[in-house]
Amino acid sequence: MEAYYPEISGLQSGGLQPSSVVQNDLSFLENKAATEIVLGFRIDDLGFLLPVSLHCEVVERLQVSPIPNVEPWFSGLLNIRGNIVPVIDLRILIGKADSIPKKRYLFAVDRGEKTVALWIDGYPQMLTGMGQPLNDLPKLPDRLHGYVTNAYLHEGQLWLKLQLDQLFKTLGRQHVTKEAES
Amino acid sequence: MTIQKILICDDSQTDLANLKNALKETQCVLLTASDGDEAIKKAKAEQPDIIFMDIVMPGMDGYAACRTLRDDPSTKNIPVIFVSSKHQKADRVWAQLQGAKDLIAKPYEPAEITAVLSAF
Repeated sequence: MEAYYPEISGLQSGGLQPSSVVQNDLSFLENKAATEIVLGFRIDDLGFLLPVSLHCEVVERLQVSPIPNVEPWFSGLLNIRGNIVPVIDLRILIGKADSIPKKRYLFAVDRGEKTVALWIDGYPQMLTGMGQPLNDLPKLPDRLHGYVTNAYLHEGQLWLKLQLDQLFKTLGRQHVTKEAES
Repeated sequence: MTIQKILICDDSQTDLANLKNALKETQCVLLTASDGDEAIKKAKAEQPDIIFMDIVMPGMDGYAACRTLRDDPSTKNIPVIFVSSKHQKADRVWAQLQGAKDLIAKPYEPAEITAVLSAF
């Protein structure tokens, strides 16, 4: 699938490390029976799916340290048991910053140096019976174009299989590029 | 249900010893594992009656192990009790969402461990 954002020559990696599990295993939905479990989290009216085997945890009472002169979606850094973890606000990234709920949770995905924390609405969910993907992708926020491989309608809610690793790679490249230009 | 076989899983040998000590008077068979992968293998092979498991471990952590156990027909009915220093509200809710029956906060009193057994 063609990346939505163009490759930037000379910059091999950005500040955000892709998740090895997300990167390597996006077939988890097709390979599992419809009754088996997947992980999901929601941001506004969109749901995002992750492999059940992925290391992830809800973290609270940890302070996010903001960083000056970064993109608004880069909330800052978080110290999770000694690992310095970038915190991404997907809600800002997808243009839904005007409706940020008062209570949100930090959801840390993957482990060690590959960990990324995301602001999410409510607790993550364990989902079963996702069924077959929709024939056509619904209208998506511009930033997600090229990174959503499948969409599912589950109990009236939209769930997206998002290539988080590719999205983070692109964001990292963009961020490094802007820093280099400034 | 009579508890006869217990699997305890923790990467810390000290914490494993503490759990063994807390459970020694139950006279149950005690199995041990040091991470989630090993716990899953032993759970499938040995079919323990209950699992006490840490959350933060190298390799597969307790959350992922619990999800995997819930997702497997041969282990989905084995109750998992988390024993962890991660015991904030979000941890408890997240543990419950993944199918754990309880979360005991470290440090614990041995009676907390045995009290859990009486509920099964």
